[in-house]
Amino acid sequence: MSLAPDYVEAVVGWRMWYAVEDGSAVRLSSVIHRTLWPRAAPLVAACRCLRVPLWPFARPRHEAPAVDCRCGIHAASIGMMRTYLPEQLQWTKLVPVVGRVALWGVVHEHERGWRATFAYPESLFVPTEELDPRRARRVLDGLRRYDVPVLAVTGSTADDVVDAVSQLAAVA
Amino acid sequence: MELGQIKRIYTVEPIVHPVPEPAPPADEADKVERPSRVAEAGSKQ
Repeated sequence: MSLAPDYVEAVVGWRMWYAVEDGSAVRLSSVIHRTLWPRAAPLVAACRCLRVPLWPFARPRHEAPAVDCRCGIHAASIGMMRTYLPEQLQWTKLVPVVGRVALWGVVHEHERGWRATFAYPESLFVPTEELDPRRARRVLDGLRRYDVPVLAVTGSTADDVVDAVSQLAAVA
Repeated sequence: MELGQIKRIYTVEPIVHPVPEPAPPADEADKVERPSRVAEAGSKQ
């Protein structure tokens, strides 16, 4: 017997990635665990706490997300992105990407966001003001291989970028 | 991310899958379209 899902539309939240070079391609990378997000396939959550075999507080193997763990694919509100972007974008050599992400599977709804089993980006916003124009073009074109809308945004501070993204997202 | 306390847990199975189908290259799209035109024309005869 299969259980009916509680919802039939993906939850949509916001998150931040880095755009990274992966051979000749440009891919999205998670900020904390540096997981590369696949194209044309969902990212599937796996608990990274299990990868420290000698850690005395290691939890038994479990599905992600789990109640008593922080695992799962995270997303939050657009306002939370201010805390993840560098205050001044010129301070980083990495290319931050802000975007909407669709979440599904088992979803844990928290006070300020979600953790889920499966995820795929829904739309991507790349702050290009501090990038060399050729690099900006390469990142934008590379990220379009995810087959989702990819837009350049202006702004050289976290606040400017989040404001620009909020405005674009409101009309998108 | 510091997400705070869990409020609730649920399951989501989207009817419309969030992973987009990659668009076929222009010449491939043309190849796919032609047989359906032939079939449509044939059905009218």
